[in-house]
Amino acid sequence: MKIRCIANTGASLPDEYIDPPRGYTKQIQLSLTIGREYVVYALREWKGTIWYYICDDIYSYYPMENPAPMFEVVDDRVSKYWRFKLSPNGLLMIAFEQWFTDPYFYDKLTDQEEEEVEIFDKVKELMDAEDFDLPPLDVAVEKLRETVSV
Amino acid sequence: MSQGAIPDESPRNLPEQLLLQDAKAGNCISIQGGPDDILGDVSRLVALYGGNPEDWYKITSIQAFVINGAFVQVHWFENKQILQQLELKFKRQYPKTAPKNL
Repeated sequence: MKIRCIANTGASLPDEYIDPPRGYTKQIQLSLTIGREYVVYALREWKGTIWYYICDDIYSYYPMENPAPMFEVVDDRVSKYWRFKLSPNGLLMIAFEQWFTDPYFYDKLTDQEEEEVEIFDKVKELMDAEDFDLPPLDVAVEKLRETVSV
Repeated sequence: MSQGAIPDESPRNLPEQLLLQDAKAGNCISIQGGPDDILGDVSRLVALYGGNPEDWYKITSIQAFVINGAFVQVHWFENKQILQQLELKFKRQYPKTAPKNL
């Protein structure tokens, strides 16, 4: 999945995304470049707000969440590395497997723990190079039927 | 996750000091925390410093400077109800190919 930045200040954020305790105010200037495309490594939905985890303009070793209204989706095909988790509190999280295997994965990653940094490095490399090209439906189903009939 | 209190880390040089000042002036944002994304460290933070689990956040500077070959950000824990900023750390990420003792 790829997104393109269409805004980078809090002035563009709908009210439901304004959350001063987390730093999201109308005045905030995010580290994003308008017009630039970013790969989405994970996303979460919480009470009607959607947040994309991307490697923003100051990326160093972990993806940072950014509010969805700052972007338009330019490639809506989802990663084969993604897993899905709906928590009892209503939080929906979509991310790569390791994010869920260890409930503190992102915590450790942002703390710069070596193992988690290395894992994200590998995941990023794979997702950046992910090939989304699929054969046309007729070709794909024909190939499947040939395989099944053998 | 660590068990005890972690003292604030001091800036090593002027650029790190400027980065810290900029972040503390309000150019900072939550990485994680709050009611929907409770921190792994929250039990320790509540035990040591008080407050409610959902009020603790991990904060980062919005800016990141390249200092002596490392990409540097400032992180700390913050409780929004009791207005504490604690356990400040400089996160220095070196390019894979660069020596780490610059």
